[in-house]
Amino acid sequence: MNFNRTLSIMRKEWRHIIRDRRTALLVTLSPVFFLVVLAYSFSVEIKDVSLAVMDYDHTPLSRSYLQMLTASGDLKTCCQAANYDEIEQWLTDGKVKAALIIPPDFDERASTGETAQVQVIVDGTDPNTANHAIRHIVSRSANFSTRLLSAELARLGTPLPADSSPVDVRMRTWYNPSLKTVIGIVPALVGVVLGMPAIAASLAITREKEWGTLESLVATPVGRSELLIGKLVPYIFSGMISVVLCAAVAVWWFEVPLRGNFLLYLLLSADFLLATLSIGVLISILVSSQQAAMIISLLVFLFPGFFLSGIFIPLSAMGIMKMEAYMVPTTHYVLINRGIFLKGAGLETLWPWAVALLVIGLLVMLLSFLIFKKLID
Amino acid sequence: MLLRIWNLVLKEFTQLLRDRVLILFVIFGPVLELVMVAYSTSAGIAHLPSAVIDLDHSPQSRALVQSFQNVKTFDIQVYPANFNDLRRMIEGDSIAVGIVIPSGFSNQLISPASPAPQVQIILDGAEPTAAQASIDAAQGLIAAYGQRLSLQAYTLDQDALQPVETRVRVRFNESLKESNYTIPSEMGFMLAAITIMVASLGIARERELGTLEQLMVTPLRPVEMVIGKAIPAVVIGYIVFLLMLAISLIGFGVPMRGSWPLLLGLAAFYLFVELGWGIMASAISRSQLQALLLVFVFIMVEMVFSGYAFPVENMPTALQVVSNLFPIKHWLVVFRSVLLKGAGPASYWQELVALAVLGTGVLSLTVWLLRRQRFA
Repeated sequence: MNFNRTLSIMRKEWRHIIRDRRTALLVTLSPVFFLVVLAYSFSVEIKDVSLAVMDYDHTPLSRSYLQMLTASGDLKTCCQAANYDEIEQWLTDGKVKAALIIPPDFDERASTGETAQVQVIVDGTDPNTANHAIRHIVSRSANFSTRLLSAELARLGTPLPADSSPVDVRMRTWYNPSLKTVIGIVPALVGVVLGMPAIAASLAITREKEWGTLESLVATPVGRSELLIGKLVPYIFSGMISVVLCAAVAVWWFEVPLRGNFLLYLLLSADFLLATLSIGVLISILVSSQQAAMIISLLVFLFPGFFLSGIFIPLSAMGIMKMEAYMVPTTHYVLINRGIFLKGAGLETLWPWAVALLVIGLLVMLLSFLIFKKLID
Repeated sequence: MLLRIWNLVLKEFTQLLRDRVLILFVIFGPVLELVMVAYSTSAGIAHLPSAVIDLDHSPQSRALVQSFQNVKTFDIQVYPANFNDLRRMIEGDSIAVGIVIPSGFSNQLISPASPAPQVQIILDGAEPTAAQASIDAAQGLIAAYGQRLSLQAYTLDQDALQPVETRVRVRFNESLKESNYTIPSEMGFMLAAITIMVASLGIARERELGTLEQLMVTPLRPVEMVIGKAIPAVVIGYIVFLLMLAISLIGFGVPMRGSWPLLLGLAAFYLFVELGWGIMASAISRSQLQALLLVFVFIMVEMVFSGYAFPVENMPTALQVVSNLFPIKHWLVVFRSVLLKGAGPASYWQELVALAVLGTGVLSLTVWLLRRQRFA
């Protein structure tokens, strides 16, 4: 391999990247744009679940019960139903997500030591929202019960002990004490959006193939490996610009802590870019049109990056598909980023994933080199 | 006019079918991906690897550990010797939840005079969804454990402890199966991505290769060209839709409670609207590269509005307003209503109107853009 020839290919490729200003800007800035959009839309909390109420009791007690349920803003009473048909209709239309039916004997039973049964109907279509509503209604009702009970017992002269819970549980959320979704999700999203440089590279190289300019390069004395490495390295450089921009946005805009070493982040990001860009190059060697390159990139980078990389569903919950997840570079990079940003982890903890990325990168490079050689000769 | 469109459709299909490998990828790629993704995410958040440090070693502490093991959220795998080991396991991501029971737990629990014993639950805040699920599950099981203990201590009967009892009934997705919600999302998203992608290239490729000018001098009108370019993408999208639907219903047990003809008709309608944006991207781009990057941006945003991770109605108001421009938001309301609720058009007519307006609007705009280019 001749270093000078590789360098001139690099220089040529770099010019390609920066010549077309609009595309260059699109490629380096779009990961940051995605990071902002995705982070905002994924850092929401479920609140204001709309609730229909059918109160057959109409007593001060039933009203104070309702008051207690909706006080926190997790649920919001949107409408008073007159009958079951109306509730059924609203649930089907999606106008309400849950309904509460207070029986006519609510006050009578609850204040005479019997049990009043409140009926709750929940739309299970979205299990997250449904679970949220169920948990909220059940725990608030239990609190309401306890309040009634302790008032009753106090009246009878045998008060409940003030601390009715026999076990004191302390939840500690390490690395993210207030459990803000955005803190946990931004470092992971960085891994998804940095798939962009690889997609751009596979498109650009395929375009050269489509236009026939790649063939003229092959006809020069430049060797196969020099050509591939010369094409790869400039994209790693332009990718590194996005890497730095993403970190800046994460730290200054979203206030994600950077507890680990920034240089280690840069080094392992380059490692990740090597892995993804090698895959991008392999794709562009295998296909003949930009259309095909894009569709395959989509199947290789975007879908698995979102759904399999452990951003929403932790890897440990994935069962046997864990293996598949580990074949995607994004999975390792998500673990690395969460480690460096939030946990302040060093190379002694992160090395298995760093090595995995390096192995993926080198193997795919070797494979592309062999296929490229075979195709050209 | 029909004959001219038909000829264009024939030409498009000939071009598409020439690339056999691409066609295989377009049709089977998303289907295969749906299987993998649905399979790995269908269980929701469960069996999180957990570690227990039990410094008490009493029947009471073992009972508490057992009640953690009985909930499907936790899977107790290791018993680290000390706090530092636990820290290392959480840092290295091999453990997601740590439960620490202090020594003296059972003594404090039994003697009424001493304060309630402390139990520490340590969570990995770097994975917020898993941490939140653990908090919810832990709170529930600790409350149940506490209630059991109080009942024993005060010998009160269950009824007296509960003046108000809630009876919860879940409709439409009775067992709250996570996959009944996520699979339609994933399906809508992959379908949109693949069909837009096929549609977006039609016009941009002709322009890049210079054949668009040839097409423009034929009697073919812009409307006809847009329709002719849309039909092949709709046909391919529809095949992908049918395959995905079959896998979701048969393989993953997603219920189909509504009317079949209605579902099949509405799906075709949705594909047409979705494609509108793809053809638009194609009409305003100078090269395929630009069209592809534009479409890529569009698809990423559609993923956000598929409500896969978080419901759209909880997003910031500005995003909610923007979400109306994306067909997938309306379609998933319709799709889920038909699948899970068995609802008819009366329940989701607003979404259908929104789709119709969006579809006509975008397609007319594209035709107008093309006409302007033609005379420019």
